[in-house]
Amino acid sequence: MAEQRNNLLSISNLSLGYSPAITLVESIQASVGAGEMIALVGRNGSGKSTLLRTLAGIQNIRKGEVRMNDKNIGSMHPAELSSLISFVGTGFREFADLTVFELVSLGRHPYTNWWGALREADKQRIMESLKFVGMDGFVRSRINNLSDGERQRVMIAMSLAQDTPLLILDEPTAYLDIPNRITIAEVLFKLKDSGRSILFSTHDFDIAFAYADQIWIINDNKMLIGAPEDLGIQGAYDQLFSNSGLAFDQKNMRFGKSRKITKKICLHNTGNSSVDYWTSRSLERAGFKVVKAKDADLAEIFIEQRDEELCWILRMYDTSRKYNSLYELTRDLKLGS
Amino acid sequence: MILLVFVLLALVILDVSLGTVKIPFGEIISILGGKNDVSRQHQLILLEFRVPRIITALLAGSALAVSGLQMQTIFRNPLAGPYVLGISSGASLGAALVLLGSGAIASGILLNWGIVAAAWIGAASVMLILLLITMRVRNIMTILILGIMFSSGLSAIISIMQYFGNAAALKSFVIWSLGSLGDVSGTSLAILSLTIIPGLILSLFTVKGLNALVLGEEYAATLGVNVMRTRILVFISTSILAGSITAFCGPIGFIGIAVPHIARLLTGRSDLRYLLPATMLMGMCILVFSDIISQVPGSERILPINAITSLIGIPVVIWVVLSRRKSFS
Repeated sequence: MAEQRNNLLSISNLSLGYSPAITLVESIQASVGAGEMIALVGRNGSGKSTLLRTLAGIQNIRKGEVRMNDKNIGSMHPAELSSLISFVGTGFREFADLTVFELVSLGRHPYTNWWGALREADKQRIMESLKFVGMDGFVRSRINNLSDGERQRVMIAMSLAQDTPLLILDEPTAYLDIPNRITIAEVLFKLKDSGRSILFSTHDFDIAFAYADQIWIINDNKMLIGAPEDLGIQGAYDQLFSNSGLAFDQKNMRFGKSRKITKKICLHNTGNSSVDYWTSRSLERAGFKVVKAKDADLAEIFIEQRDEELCWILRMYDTSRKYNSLYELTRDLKLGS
Repeated sequence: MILLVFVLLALVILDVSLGTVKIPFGEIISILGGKNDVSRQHQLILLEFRVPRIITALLAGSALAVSGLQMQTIFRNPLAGPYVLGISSGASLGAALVLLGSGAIASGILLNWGIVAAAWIGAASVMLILLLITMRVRNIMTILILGIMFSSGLSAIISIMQYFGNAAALKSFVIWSLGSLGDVSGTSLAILSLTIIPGLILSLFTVKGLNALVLGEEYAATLGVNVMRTRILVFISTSILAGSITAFCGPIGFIGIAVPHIARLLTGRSDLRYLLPATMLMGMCILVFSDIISQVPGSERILPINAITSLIGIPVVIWVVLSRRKSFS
């Protein structure tokens, strides 16, 4: 055993559910270390949001114990908890016509007086938070006029202004396009670098694999925990969606329906790695296995590249046909096979 | 905000000067300054009628507008007002019980106090029932629906009482329900001030919680706001404000719904630290303005205040419904 690590948050024996009859996840044992980034994954309705909301103090703990800085959060005053854990919920609901500054200033709530008056230090913290997420140019904008990605960054700035060692985010990359997802992930990564711990749920395995120190998988009422690669070795990903007929493709690090391979085909490589790669991908998608010449059933493909022109030659039953695109090639192959 | 204070001052001065009996402005200053070298009659009109009426208008305007703002914020519904919880219906039932139930055509101080007390008890009972519900029901929208149902139920009971009431009692009830700023003076004005001012102060303590509730109850909770306590504070302050005004002046409509929207439009802010004081001032301005209109300057008639506030308020509400952008929570 390595030396005792100082855990920021530790969860022991926690069970989640709606009513006494319905249990979502049983006896969770997990911990969040300082400066760790943790991705929580699982199917829709598996209990991800319930777990996050329970940790954030929105929902009561039914069974088990959650300790933050070695203090039970169930017995904490809401004000104390709000200075330790901040929360950003799923998607976006219409709020009043607040400006970006007004919204982020709500993050200072745990520290302001009865009237919510902002001191100079509070204003400074708000501006720093906006700068951190790259939204300092939008101070006076109305949140309802922002794009989804910008708004999500403002919400993160709000939880940042709350100055908590742990940030919890429920699907922060949902509804965003790819550049925006990466922006959000990078903001969270930068936050982790600044020493905060981040726990977020996601359906985005790319982001989980690329950024997380730990992945928590909720599957079959249980939670599996480990580094992304540990879970890979344990085969956790193969099981995750297996009852939907999805397999985990290790080479491409993604889930998919396993395709039925109908025929084996030989592809003579050209040496242009990009053309070779996309050609074999296209053939695989069409249900062919790319093999060496001696193993092939009937057909061979040659790629010809002259000057700017690229074409594929299919040789089958001693006849040859020439194609100008992979679309035409695979269409004919599917018809012929 | 400062502009609003000046507008309010101007309106108050205008309102003091207007009336069926013309009193020169210089004389008004002298009377208010406590000098005695003026017409006894003018002094009486001013101190016994106009000034109490204006103070009532100031109290009622700010109280109704503030409770409307609180209701709109806590229910996250732009069409909520001080009466959505059935507070006005409770007060009306109290008044109806005295006016219609007793059957007596008693008049004078006793009856007036009877109405006020009964209306107050009616509003307070509704508030208590709602608070008990609030302790048990988590979902704020459920409470809104219960409040509306409650309100309709009470109105139905009042209708039945009206149906069986005698003509004279019915007329007094109808007059009460038209609302009036002019019936409050002396002791009753003192009592009204003593309830409204603490109610307004209490409303200031709901500002921080309400600001966070704009984001929804989940966020408010994670920001360390005690959602239940905020809700209870809001309901108590609204009940004190709207309940007392209804008890003393009768139901005055649309100030509570319309004024917060006007204030929002004029200040361009949603932060209640600005919006609540602005709404308070705006409510005073609009009710004093309505009071001026109701006296139909230059004529001897006085129109029912409830009709005037409705005529001013309805276009605002229509405008809110039609132009509602994403701008409201």
